[in-house]
Amino acid sequence: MKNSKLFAVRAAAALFMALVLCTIAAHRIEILLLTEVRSLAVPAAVTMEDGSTVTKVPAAAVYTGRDGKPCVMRLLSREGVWGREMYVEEMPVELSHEDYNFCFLKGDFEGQSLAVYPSRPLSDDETVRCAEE
Amino acid sequence: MKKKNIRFLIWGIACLSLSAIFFFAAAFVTRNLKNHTPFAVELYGAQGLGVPVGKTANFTEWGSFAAAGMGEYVQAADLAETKSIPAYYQMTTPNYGEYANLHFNEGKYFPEDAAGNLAVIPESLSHELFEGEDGKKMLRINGKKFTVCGVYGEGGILTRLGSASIPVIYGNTSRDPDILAEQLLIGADAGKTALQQQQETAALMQIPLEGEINDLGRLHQLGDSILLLGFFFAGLWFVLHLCIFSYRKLMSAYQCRGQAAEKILPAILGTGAFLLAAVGFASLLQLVRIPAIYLPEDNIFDISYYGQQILNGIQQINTVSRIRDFSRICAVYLCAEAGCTIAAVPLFWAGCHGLRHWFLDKQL
Repeated sequence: MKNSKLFAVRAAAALFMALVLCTIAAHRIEILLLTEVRSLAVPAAVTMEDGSTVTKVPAAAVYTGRDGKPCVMRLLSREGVWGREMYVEEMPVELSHEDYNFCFLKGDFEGQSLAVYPSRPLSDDETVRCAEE
Repeated sequence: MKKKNIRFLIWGIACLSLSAIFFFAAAFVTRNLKNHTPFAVELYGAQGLGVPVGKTANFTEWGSFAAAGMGEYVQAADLAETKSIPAYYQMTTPNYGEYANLHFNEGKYFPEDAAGNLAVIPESLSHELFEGEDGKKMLRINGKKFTVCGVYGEGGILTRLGSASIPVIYGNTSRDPDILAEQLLIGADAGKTALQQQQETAALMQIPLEGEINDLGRLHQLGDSILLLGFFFAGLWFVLHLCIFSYRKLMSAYQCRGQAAEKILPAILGTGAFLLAAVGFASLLQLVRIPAIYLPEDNIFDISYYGQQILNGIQQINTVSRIRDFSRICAVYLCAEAGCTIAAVPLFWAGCHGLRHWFLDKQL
């Protein structure tokens, strides 16, 4: 009886240590598997000749949303289980016009942070990590 | 007893020294990988990329890329045609030497305003054709006169292992600017995927660019990651032994039949050692920095995925279809580096184990 109790305590201690180390490793693995993105600070909007306001962003910042319409992915942060984490939020946009490298979005998005060049296709509310970090 | 003790010390030092040598060798290989292969995304089309190499030269200024035309097998000879050697000739844009990371022993890559037939030749060809000759070097390629403007080094043994044994001559585009581009080297950008960079270049030139994509920039990152992974596995020895120490102390505290005060010291030591092990493990894990594109999407323990990646690397080494295939050269370097790292880690563990025994025996 005494031996089995000792064995249980030993096994529990070893298991506890292994679980703590596994949790630390799992946290790192989770970070490694997150989609990598690069953040882009949106520049000031410009006013067109017809009086409309447009924002110039790289073509890589515009995605196709779930409804098939153009959207951008806003890069935001929130409180996660392990502290602050970055995530993306799909935001529908209307294209004014576009060329090979840039898209001109209707409206003013100045100061917002957008996710560009993701390592995998992004989806709304997905947790990501910035490539610069 | 003393003899055995010294044996442990010698064994430990010998293993640690050997491990250090292997780690240095791996670091040296990584540095050479970066020195002898381009930090670029390579686009390759065996039948051409659908754009003449002369036309790409107009865009290289804005697009951060260099181009090489379809290669041809030629006979390179000295002016008097006393010696003739089979070679591979490729026309390139003037910035190709910089992108391909060529290191020059003599002269330099041809300038943008280069006129006439200019050639950049490898060191081996220069030795064979111009041994002992000084002054301006000229050669004949399929009978046509070329002026040699630069002689580049062909790299170390690993570069040669990854390359075909035929010398590669680079020429300027003035001879035939309409020849199709076979290879584009696009300057790698850490924040963009290879496909995005290919699409941006295609958009810049306003032509579809379809071909094999090799992300050599990411392979450079992978080189660093393998070395860091080696350090991680080596460092695990300390974490493991801290855990064992902590476990023993905690168990001795539990089994202690004395007063509570006697239990406190081993319990504190055990807890402290375990906390140190956990913090050390978390810090060590920061060394694991494998680029996302080399990891499976959902399950990091997807063995078949890693098996496929290793198989692709081996196939890349065995490919013989191309003359100067940078991804094959990278694969040779990465295999050599991985081999050195795999040898270094168990030696490090054995060395630490030996020194630990020596230390414990000395205490006794």
